[in-house]
Amino acid sequence: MTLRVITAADPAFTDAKWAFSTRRVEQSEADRLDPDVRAAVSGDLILGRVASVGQHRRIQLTTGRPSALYEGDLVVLACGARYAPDQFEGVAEVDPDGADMLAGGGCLGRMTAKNERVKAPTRIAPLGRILRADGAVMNLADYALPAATRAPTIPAIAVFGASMNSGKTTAAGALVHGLRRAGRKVAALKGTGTGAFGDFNTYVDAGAHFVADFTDAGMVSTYLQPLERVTAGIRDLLSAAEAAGAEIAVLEVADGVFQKETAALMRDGGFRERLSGVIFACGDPLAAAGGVGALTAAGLAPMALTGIVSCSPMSTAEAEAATGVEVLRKSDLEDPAEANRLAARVIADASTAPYDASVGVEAA
Amino acid sequence: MQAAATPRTPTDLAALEAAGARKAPPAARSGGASLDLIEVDTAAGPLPVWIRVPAEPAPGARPLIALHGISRDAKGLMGRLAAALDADPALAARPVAAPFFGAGAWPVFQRVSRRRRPDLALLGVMDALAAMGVVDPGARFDLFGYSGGAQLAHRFAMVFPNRIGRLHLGAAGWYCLPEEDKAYPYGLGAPERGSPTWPRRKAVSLSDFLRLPIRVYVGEMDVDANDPALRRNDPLDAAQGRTRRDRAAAYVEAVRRAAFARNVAPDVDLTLLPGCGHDFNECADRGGLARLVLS
Repeated sequence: MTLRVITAADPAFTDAKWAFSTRRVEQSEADRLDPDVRAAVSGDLILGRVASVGQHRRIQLTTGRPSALYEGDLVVLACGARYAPDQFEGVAEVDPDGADMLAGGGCLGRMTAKNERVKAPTRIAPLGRILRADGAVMNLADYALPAATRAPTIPAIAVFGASMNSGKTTAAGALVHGLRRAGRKVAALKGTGTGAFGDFNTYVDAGAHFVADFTDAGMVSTYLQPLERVTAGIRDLLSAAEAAGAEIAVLEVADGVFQKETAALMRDGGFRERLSGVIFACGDPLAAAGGVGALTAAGLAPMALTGIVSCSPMSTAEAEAATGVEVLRKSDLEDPAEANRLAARVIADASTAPYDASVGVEAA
Repeated sequence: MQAAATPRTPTDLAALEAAGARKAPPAARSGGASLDLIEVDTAAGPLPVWIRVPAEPAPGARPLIALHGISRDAKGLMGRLAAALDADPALAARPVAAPFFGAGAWPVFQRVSRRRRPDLALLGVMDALAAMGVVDPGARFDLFGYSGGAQLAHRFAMVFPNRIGRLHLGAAGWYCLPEEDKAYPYGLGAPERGSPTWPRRKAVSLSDFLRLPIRVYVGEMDVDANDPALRRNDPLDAAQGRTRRDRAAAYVEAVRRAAFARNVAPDVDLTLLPGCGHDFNECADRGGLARLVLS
């Protein structure tokens, strides 16, 4: 095998735009390239050159700001899969003749499906997998948070949704903000999804004392990852939050409850045991009914509904009548008195019992 | 203490500003502590707050927030507390804050469920003191209220027990009892009219609230059932009694019953202040109330 030798001081590395998904990587460890990109596996760091700008006209940088992309730009992305009904589905494969930028946060792979309302993906000409001096391929997993040594006990309120863009992140951010204003030390975690700074920054802006996502657990994306790896990552995030002093966590779960992996997560007993409460974000009363049904069947009956459905008093009334679950607006979640009520429902029992939808349920 | 007299009721921020309130650092000194009137920006609007910061806070001493009654004499309240701290070196030196709820901005400050949210104002005071470095972020506070201030204090503590170290209630006119068989606002049951939002917010944290050390004080002579400032109606009288003294005793018993029902060991007691009526200054001077709160 012939390796193209690029040193750490090579402008190719130092001038490249490193994507947000690589934020935990020690860039100075980049030593040289291995052109055999076909061998790339999920999480491997790929140096590439922008061949054509498509759907993603910007890349999210490690600094947390977007950077406009130009043809010829050097970029460092992580090989990964993606599942985004509003944009792309793709797998963690890198074709030496060209690969697809599946997400602006830095996910590179092969597109397999596309929403017809988005453009073709930005194309990247891969130059090689990035190697450390010892010859090992740099992978996000190498820079992940330490694995949890014992099961975390921090109470966690999970935010599920009917789909992408149903209001999960808005709800999670609002609840984080309300909890902080109530004096709680709160962690904001994204348990699944594709690496991006939008949600991450939302949590930071909301005032969370600790923010982390699956990238901090070593994954650019949780799509097509083994369930055990995803649940281990969530456990590691909760453990890190607890170690950082957080007393409660808000955990967002990406995609909708019918998405294959979210559904698998819901059925996983170990994951369910870590949850102390569930909030479901959805867009309309019918979605509310479906989501509550799916979650309840999985033993995760939500304690509140929120999301776009809460924007309309009429939809709110219909959703509450159809499900028997109260609907909370963004302003309710941000209210420290309301956020503290939700916290009180989960904190007292979290250390002694697994998720129990009946805990703290108040009669209508 | 500031030389300019602070107007009593009715007062508002403009009047306080005219009297010399400002945001600048220390206007006066009280003993070894700085004493100042600041304005805190809260989610419920700007709020003047008297703050007293000791030069060297005692290790582990919790900060105290003191809430005035309908006389709205925050300055006088702070004065009595400061005097007690100055007079007795055995009392732990700690930051003290006395917010001022002016009549113009706060026609009703005793209840958290009103449109103008005094609970958000108190959270803002807590955050401001942390931002100033006076207390640690997220610190628990001791909370004292007299008369209307005691009404606000116990209601705030029911919603945010996680922010309270010790609760001191002086001669509240009436209470929200920790009982779900009594309709809100006199208990935590469903209200006869209006939203159940606030009783729900209080009920869910009830066990945590009942674990708090709660000290209730009332003047031995605070027995005037015809005080025009005292809310009276049949359900209230039947549940809590006709006078503030009766109501204080009823509240303590209700807290004990609720605690036992939830397998919580109650830490609540009632102190009758000898020879005192419904007057904070009298309770402080003759009854030793300030010292009791600060002990």
